[in-house]
Amino acid sequence: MLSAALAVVMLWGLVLCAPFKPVWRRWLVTASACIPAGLCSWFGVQLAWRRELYEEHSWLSALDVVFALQLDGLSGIFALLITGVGAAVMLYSAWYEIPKRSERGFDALLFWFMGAMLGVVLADDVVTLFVFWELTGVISYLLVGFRSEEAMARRAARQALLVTSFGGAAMLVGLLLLGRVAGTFRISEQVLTDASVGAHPSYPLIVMLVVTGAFAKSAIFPFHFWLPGAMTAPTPVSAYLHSATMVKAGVYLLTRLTPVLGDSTLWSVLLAAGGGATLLAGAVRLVKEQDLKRILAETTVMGLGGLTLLIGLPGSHASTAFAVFLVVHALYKASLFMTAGAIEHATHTRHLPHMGGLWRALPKTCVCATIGSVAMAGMPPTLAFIGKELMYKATLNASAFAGALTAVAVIGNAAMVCGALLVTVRIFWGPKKPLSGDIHEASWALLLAPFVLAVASLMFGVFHGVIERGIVEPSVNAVEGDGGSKLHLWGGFSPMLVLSGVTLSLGYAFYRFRPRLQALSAALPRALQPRVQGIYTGALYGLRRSAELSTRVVQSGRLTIYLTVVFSVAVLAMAWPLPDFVRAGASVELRPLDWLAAALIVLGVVRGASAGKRVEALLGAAVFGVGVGLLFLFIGALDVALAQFAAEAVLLAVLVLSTASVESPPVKRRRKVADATRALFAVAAGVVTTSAVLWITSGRFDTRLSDHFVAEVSAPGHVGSNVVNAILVEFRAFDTLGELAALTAATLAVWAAVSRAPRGPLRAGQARSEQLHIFEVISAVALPVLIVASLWLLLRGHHYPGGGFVGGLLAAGAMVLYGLGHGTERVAAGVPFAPHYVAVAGLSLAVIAGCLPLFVDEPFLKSLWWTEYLGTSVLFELGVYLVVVGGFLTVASPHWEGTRPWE
Amino acid sequence: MGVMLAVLSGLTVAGAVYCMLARDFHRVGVGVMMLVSATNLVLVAAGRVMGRAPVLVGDASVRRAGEQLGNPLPQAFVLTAIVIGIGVIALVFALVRALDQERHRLDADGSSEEEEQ
Amino acid sequence: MNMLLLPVAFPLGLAFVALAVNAAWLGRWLVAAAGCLMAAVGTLALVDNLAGTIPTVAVGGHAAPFGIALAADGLSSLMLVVTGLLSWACASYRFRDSHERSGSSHALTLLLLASVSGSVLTADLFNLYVWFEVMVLASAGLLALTGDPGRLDGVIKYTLLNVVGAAFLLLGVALIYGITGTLSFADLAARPRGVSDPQLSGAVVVVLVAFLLKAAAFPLFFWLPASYPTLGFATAGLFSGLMSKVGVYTLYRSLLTLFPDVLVEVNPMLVVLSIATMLTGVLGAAAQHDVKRILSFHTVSQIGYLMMGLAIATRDAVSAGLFFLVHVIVVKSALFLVGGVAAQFFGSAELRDGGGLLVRGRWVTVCFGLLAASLAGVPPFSGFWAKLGLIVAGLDAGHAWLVATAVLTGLLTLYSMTKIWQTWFWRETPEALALSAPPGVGLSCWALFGVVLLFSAWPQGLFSVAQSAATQLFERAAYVTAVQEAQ
Repeated sequence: MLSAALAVVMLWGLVLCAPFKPVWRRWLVTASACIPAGLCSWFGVQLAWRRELYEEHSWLSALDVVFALQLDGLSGIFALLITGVGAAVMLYSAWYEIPKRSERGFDALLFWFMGAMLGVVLADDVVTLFVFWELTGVISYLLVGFRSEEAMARRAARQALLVTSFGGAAMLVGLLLLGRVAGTFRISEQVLTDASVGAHPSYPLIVMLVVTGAFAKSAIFPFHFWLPGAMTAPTPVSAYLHSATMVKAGVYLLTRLTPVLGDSTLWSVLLAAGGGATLLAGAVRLVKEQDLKRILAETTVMGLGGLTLLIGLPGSHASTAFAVFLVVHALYKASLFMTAGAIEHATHTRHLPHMGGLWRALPKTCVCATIGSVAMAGMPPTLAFIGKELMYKATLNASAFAGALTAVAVIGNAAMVCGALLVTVRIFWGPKKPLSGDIHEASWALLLAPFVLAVASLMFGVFHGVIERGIVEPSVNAVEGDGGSKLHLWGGFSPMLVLSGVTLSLGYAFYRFRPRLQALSAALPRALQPRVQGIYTGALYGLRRSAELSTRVVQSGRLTIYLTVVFSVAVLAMAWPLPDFVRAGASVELRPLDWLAAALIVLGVVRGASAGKRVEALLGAAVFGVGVGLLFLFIGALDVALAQFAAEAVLLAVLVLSTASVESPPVKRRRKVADATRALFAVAAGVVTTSAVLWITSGRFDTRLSDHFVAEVSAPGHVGSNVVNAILVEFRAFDTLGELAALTAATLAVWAAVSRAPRGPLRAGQARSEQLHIFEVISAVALPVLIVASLWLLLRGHHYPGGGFVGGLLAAGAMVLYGLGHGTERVAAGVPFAPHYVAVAGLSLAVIAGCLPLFVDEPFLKSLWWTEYLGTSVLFELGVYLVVVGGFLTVASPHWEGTRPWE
Repeated sequence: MGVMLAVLSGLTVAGAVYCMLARDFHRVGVGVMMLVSATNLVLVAAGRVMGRAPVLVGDASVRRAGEQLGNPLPQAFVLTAIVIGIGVIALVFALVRALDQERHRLDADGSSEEEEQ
Repeated sequence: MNMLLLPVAFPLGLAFVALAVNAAWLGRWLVAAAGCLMAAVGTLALVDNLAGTIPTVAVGGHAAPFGIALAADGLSSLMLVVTGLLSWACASYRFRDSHERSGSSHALTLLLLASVSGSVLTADLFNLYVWFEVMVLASAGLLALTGDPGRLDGVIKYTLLNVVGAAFLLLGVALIYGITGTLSFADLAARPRGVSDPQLSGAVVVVLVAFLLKAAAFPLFFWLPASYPTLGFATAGLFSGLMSKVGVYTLYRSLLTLFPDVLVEVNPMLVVLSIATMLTGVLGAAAQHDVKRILSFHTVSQIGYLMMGLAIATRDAVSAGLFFLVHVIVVKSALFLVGGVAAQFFGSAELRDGGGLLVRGRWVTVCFGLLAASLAGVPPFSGFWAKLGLIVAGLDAGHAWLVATAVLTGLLTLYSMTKIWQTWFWRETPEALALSAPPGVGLSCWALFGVVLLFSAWPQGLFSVAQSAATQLFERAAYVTAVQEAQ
C-alpha cells in the first residue's frame, strides 16, 4: 500500500511531463492536488486508528539492501505534512505564473519531489532512505536553478546541491557504519539493539557523520547559509521544499535516530549547540535582510534551529513541543511564502523598502498575511503559541545550561516576532510607498491555499485536541514511548507565560530599532561577522585553483617529464627486490666473435645516444642493430638473426631517407643539469636491468616446453624440421596471427600519418642525380631476382631458416629499391592500389588459411600438409609475406618520387 | 655469455632511456629502436637461448659435435617481438615526420596540450 | 570454429573488406557486427559460467601450456559483453567526422576490437603482450587518422608512452618466463600459494607497471588526457570504454588469478595509487573547461575506483569492482556519445560555447542529465550502487582512507557534472544557434541509456553476475583445470 502510494505519485509526475496547453495544464494541476489531498486523508486515518504499516521488497540483496517502508507515528506526522502542504502547494502553483513551466517540467518535478520526500519519511532501510534523501536534493537543485538564465539562480542551486550532498555523503558513511555496528540496515531493528551502539568505539564518528548530514540538509549552523540563497526558486518551491518539507528531512532523521543514537551527552550537546547557534545566526541575519522571501527564509532557518534544539533536549515536553512546532511551522510558513508570492505577483518586487501601506490595494492578501504572521509571532490563540510555551517548558527543564538555552530560545522567537511584524505591519500598514505599475490583487484561486493553511494554524490552536490525539501522541510515542504532554492554550500564570510576554516585547523592540541594529552589526569588525558563506566560496575557489595547479604540474604536456616519471616508476619497481649478483650463471663459454658483436652493440648505443646529427644517430642505431643480429647469429638463433638483419637493413634505408627530409631544427636541452639527470636515469635503468637479468638467470631453468617442441618436431610424421618456425606457425600460430594484426595496424597507422602530411614532390626524391643511374640499373636487375629468392625463402621456411617474414622483407627491400631508382609510376604499373591494401589483404589471407582446416573438421589454425612443401601453413606464411611487403611499401611510400597514382 | 648478455641488455636499456629523455622527438624515436632491441636481448638472456647451433632437427640439422641447441621457444618470442617492434619503430618515425611537416618543430616539451590550458 | 575464436577471427578476417570496399555504411556495419558478435559470444560464455563451466579452446588443437588456450571465465565474459555492446553503440552512432568514415578507420577499429577480444580471452602471457601491441598500434592509427589537425604531438605522446608500457610488459614477461619456464595462465595460476618467491614478485611488479600504465593509473596516466581530447566524441567514447578498461582487466586477472601472493605484497602500494588516481583524476576534471577533457580526466578518476576494488581485495570488493567496471564502461561511453550530440549542435566541445540545451534539446537533456547523475553516483542510478558496493566493502575491511577518498571523489565528480549542466543546459542558448534545429539522440545512445537504467532499477541482476565472477576469480582451481583441459 505504501509503495503503491509512492508509485502513484511518481507516475503522475510522468503524466505531468506531457506537453499540455497552458489552460489545460492549469486545470490538470489543480486536479492533481486531489492526489496528495487523498493521500493526506488516508495517512490521517491511519494515524487516527494508530495503524502501523510495514512492507518490504527485495532490492539489492547482494548488499543487504531492501526496499523497506514503514508507517509509524513519526513517519505519519511527516507524511501528513508532506501530502497536506503538498495539496495546498499544488493548488497554489496551478495558478501561479511560472515562465517556461511546461518545457522545464515544473509540475512533474514538484510531484516527484513529493514522492521522494514521502520516501524519505517512510523508508525503514537506511539505504532506501538515503536514495530518497539524495533524490530530494537533486530535485531541489533543479528547482532552485529553475530560472536558470540568471547566474544567481545557477550559483545558488549549485551551492544548495553541493552543501547538502556533502552532508549526504557523510551521512551515508555514518548510516552504513551504524548498520554494521547494529548488524542491520533497518532502523526499526536498530532501535531494538540500541544498547550496543552507544558503547561501540565508532559511535562518536557515526554521530558526527549522521549529524553533519542532517545539519546540512536542514540548514543548521554551520550549514545555514544555503537556504536564503535557495530563495531564487519559484515561490511554490520555496513554500514547499524550503520551508515545509525538504529542510525538515534532516530534523526528521535526527528524530528518527534519537532512539538509536540519542542516549549520550555528545548527541544532546551537538544538537542543542547546533540548534542554538542557528537560532542566533538566523536572528542576526534577519535584522539585515531586505528581501521579503529571504526574511521568511531566515525565519525558517530559525525554526529549524528551534526544532533541532528540541530534539537535543530530553523528555516528553521537548518531544511534544517538537511535534507541535513542526506542524505549525509547516502550516504558517508555507502560507506566508505563498502570500509573499502573491505580493510579489501584485507589486513585482520583493524588496522591503519599496513596499508599504498595501492593505487598501491588496485586502485579501493582507488577511492571509496577517493570520500567518500572528501564527509566526506565536500569539494566542494559535497553535504556535502552545508550541512556544511547550518549548520554554522544555528549555527550562533542561538538565544543564537551562538559562542559556532559554535565553537563546527567547531571542530566536523574538526575532520571529520581528519577522512577522516586518511581513505584515511594514508591508500592509506602514507608510505608503510609490510603486510603479498597476497593483492588482491575485485571483482568489491563488489566495485560497495560503488562506486555508493560515486558518488551519489558527483553528488547530483553538481545537488543539485534534492535534493532540491525532498527531502529537502517536509521534511522541514513536520516539519516547509515551504519550507526551498535554496541550493547552491557557496554562495558568507560569514562567512560560512571562517568557511569552518577554518574547513579544523583545520582538517589537527588534522591529522598532531595526535600523539601529543594522548600523550596529555593520559597525562590527569584519572578523566578528559570521562568514560561513565565505568559507564555502573560498573552498570552491580553492578547489578550482588547486585543481588547476595540480593539473598543470601533473599533466604538464611535456613528454620528457612524462617519460621521466614512467621510467622512475619502472626503475623503482625493478629495484624493489634487491638483486643478487653473486650467482650469475654462464652456461656457454665466450668466443672471440661474441666480443665483436658486443663491441658493435656498445659502439652503436654510444653513437646513437651521443651523435649530434639525427642521421648520425640513426647510423649508430644501425651499427647497434648489426651487433644484435650478429649476437643472435652466434648463439644459434639463426631465424632471429636473419629477421633482424633483413628488417634492420630495409627499415634503416627508409628511415635515413625520411630523416633527410626532416626540416625542423634539432632541439637541445636548455641546461646541462637536465642532461646529467637523464644520464643518471639512464644508468639507473641500465644497472637495474642488468641486475634483474643476472638475478633471474642465476636460477635453474625449466625447459620442458622447448623440449616438448623439439620432440614434437622430431617425431616421425611431422612435416618440417625448423623448430622455431614450427612454433611460429603451428604451436603458437595465434601469436603470429596477433603479430600480423600488429604489423597491419602499424601499416594502417603509418598510412594515416603519411596521409596527414602535405602532398607534393618530396625532397628525398629530388635529390636523385646523375650518379644514381647505376643504382637504377642495379635495382631493375635485382627486382625479379630478389622476388624469386624471397618466394624461395618463404617456401623453405618450415624446414630451414627463412620463412614468410624474411621472404617478405627481401621482396619489400627489392621493391623499395626499385621504387627509389625508378619512381613510383613504374611500381604503380605493377601495383595499382595503395600498398596498405596489400598488408590488410595479407592479414585476411592468414585468417582464411587458419579457417581452411575447419573444412576437414580440424581446429582453427591447425597446420595441415598435403605435400612436403604445400600446406595451410604455407598459405599462412604467404599472408605474413604480404603483410610485410605491404607494410614496408607503405613506410617507404612518401619517399617515392612524384604523385601517387592511387590517390 | 650470460653475464655479457645481461650487461649488454643493461647498456641498451641505458642508451634507450637516455635517448628517450631527449627533447628532440627524432632522438626519442632512436630511443624506441634501442628499447625494442633491449627487450629482445632480455628475452634471449632470460630464456637461456644461449646455444651454438640452430634448432633444426632431422635432415636439416647442422649441429656439430659439442654444440648446444639453443632454446627454441624464446627464439620464437623474439621473432614475434622483432616483427612487432619494426611496426612500432616505423610508426613512431612516421609520426615524427608528419609532425615535422605539420608544425616544423620536433620539441617533445612544446605541446598543443600545454597551450590549451 | 569454437565460438571463443570468433570475436578475434571475424574482425581480423573482414578488415580487408572494410578497407577495400571503403563504404561508410559497410564499415560501420562490420564494426557493429563485430561488436554484436563479441557481446553474443560473451553472453553465451556468461550463461555457461553461471551454469558452472568455463568455456575454453586450445588454438590449433595444441593444448596449454604448449599451445595457446583461450578461456572465458566470468570476468572475461563480462568484459566481452560490455565492450561488444559499446563497440556496437559507437559504430551505430552517426559518425560526423569525415575521417571517421574512411575504410581504413573501420579496418583499424576492427583490429582494435580483435585485440580487445584477444586480450580478455587469452590464457597466455606472451599472447597477451601481442594483443596489447595490436591495441596500441591500432589505437595509435585511429588517433593519427581521426585526431584533430594540429594536435599530432598528442598522438606521438600516446604512442610513445604506450610503447614504453608494452616494452615493460615484454620485459616482465621475459623475466617471468626466465623464472618459471612457462607463460600459460594454467601453469602460473597453479603455482603453490603462500610460497614467497622474491624473484617472481620482482618480475611480476614489472608487468604490473605495464598494466597500471595501460589502466591509466597514477602516476602513469599522462597518455590518456593528452590524447583522448584530440579524438572525435564517438572514438573517444570507444577508447574510454576499451583501453584503460582492458588495463584494469589485466590488473584483476594478473593479481587475482595468476599471482595472488603478489597482491598481498603490493597491497599497500595499490591503496596509495588508488587514492592518488581518484584524486588527481577528479581534480584534473575540475580544472577543465572542455567537455571532452572533463570526461577524459574522469576516466582516470574512475580507474581509481576500479583499483579500489582490487586494493580492498575481498570477494565483496572485487564483485563491487566488477559491477563498477561494467557500469563505468557503459555510462562513460554513453556520456561521450551524448556529449558528442550536444557538441555537434554547438560546433564546439568548449563549455563557454554552449547553452540552453534544457529548452532546446529535451531528450539530450534527459539522457545527459541521468547519465551524469549516474557517473556522479547520485542514487538510485547505477553509479550509486557501484560506489555503495565499494564503500560497504571498504568499511567492512577497515579501509577508512579509501572510503573517505571515494566519497570525496564522488562529490567532486558531482561538482564537475554541475559545471557542464549549468553551462550547456541551463545557460541561455548562444544567439547564433537560437534558430537551428535541436539535436536528436540516436538509437545507440538510447540503447546505452537503457542499459544504465536497467542497472539502476535492477542492480541485483548485474551484482549477482559480478559476484559469481568474483567467486571464480578467488577459486583458481576451476580456471586452471579448464585451461589445462582446453581442447
